[in-house]
Amino acid sequence: MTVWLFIGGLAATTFLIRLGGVVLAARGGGTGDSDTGMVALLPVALLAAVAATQVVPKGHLEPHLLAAAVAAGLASTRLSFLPAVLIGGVAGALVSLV
Amino acid sequence: MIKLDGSDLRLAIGASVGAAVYSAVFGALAVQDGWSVAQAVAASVVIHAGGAQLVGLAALGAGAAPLTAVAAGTLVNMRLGVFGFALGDVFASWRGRFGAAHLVSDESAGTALTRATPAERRRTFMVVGLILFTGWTTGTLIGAVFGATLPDQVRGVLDSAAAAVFAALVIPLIHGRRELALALVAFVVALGAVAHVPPGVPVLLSALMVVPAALIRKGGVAR
Repeated sequence: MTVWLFIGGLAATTFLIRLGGVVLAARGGGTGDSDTGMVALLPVALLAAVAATQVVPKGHLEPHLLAAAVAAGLASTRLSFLPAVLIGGVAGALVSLV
Repeated sequence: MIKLDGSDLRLAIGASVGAAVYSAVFGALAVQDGWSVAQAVAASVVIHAGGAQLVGLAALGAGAAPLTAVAAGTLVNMRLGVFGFALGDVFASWRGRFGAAHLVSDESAGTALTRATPAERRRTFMVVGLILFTGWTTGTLIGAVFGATLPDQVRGVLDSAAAAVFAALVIPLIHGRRELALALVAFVVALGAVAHVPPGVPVLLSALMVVPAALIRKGGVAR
């Protein structure tokens, strides 16, 4: 039930956010400028926070998860998303084997 | 009827393959956390927003209440409203707006905005959006079905992949000192809070850090 509540709730809010942007664009005309202060910055703060909570599940630092995040983060400065995730996953797996 | 264009298809297939792999990780992790295959696939069909789905999955997995998980996922999705707004002249009618709004994603909006005319933007948005949606849901199904049959050691590697996903998502968003500072502060706030507050709350606390960051930017513009 918890999972279905989450799915239904997030589906509703996500659709309303999407529709809100689309309707505003249709009424006022989009500018093509997606840099609108706090909204543009939110993903940076949230994803950085989630990355932090991923490497310290239940408050304890997991070295293999930290290695995966650091490797993927470094790789993403040079490579596209998928190769970066692959490198991170392999780095984490290698550290967990040590 | 959508007229297909070779460059749109290449963009769409490339983005779709990437989305399928990403969503397969979501599907496998969801099943690993006790979700059914139907729940994992339903989430991808009705939410269709990768970062928010993984954020919510992580929050629920850590014991957060559904409302907290929804709030965290909703904040991640705020950018989709901005993308929808930036598309401007793509949506001609209310019916079209309701149908096409669900296809607004980083990839569909980003590729559509590179086109010169409204007709080209509409075509690219629809082609990339529809193929991406298909890849996203198919990938989730594959990950959810086969993730459950993987050996424990292989499933353990998925944890590393999930940690890697968020790092690989956030680093490309950092384009200057303001974003770098915000990412570091949000990271440290979440790290410091995770052992002391209920699950899901560290992410929301970190979200508050955008307020001073945005004010600093406003101050810079005003000067």
